[in-house]
Amino acid sequence: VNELIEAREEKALQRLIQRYARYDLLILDELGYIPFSREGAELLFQVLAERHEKGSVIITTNLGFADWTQVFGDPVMTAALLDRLTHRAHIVNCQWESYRLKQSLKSKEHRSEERK
Amino acid sequence: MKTPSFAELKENLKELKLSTMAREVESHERQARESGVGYDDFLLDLTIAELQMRTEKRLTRRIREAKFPLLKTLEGFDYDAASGLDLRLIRELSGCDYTREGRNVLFRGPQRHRQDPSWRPAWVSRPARTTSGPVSSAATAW
Repeated sequence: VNELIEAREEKALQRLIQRYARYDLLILDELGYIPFSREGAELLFQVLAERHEKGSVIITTNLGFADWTQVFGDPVMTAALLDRLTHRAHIVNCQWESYRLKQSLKSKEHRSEERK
Repeated sequence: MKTPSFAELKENLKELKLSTMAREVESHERQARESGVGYDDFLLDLTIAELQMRTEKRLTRRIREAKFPLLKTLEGFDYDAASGLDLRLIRELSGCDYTREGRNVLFRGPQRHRQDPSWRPAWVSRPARTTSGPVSSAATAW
């Protein structure tokens, strides 16, 4: 998204959007973790619009569907985005507890046992 | 085959962008002669080697271009730590049919708390938004 904003300033935006449209697969990791500026959200909309039904997108996110509006701003656009993103999409629910958290708790336990 | 013709053959193969064949033609030819392999199988083996190398290089290049922060594989995934994961779906997705069909995949983790301010965009609290071009252009793009 930052790259998109920079490209806009350099008037190379259209080319960049086209490039992102051409990839067979685009991965948006941890969507919503770092918030976008309003402009960033709009640009991401455009990229995803270009790819709709042409190229796949993988999204990993902790956002509930109800929270997407807060990250993207405009409720109408967000609804349109979600509608298209989830159309014929595979949805994988990952509701188990954090693997990293579990790992660090385990190693902490291990350390305290060693001290005893 | 005499050595001079090998040199020319290698040059030709390189010019045809068949670098693996160029590199391996001499040893393959020797092996073929020793084991009595026919011309057709010799050529077949050589083209297989070229194609395999290309597949490998393509994969390496794509992984590099993707700029993954860390390289993780499905084989290394700890499925025991992922209770409730739809293994049948993961197996289906690993075939990558969804990319050929242009379908999306959404991985949904547990929701963070709504009151957690860390992920809230700065402009959400702004009461009025200025109307802007990109929204309408994105709207027509849909």
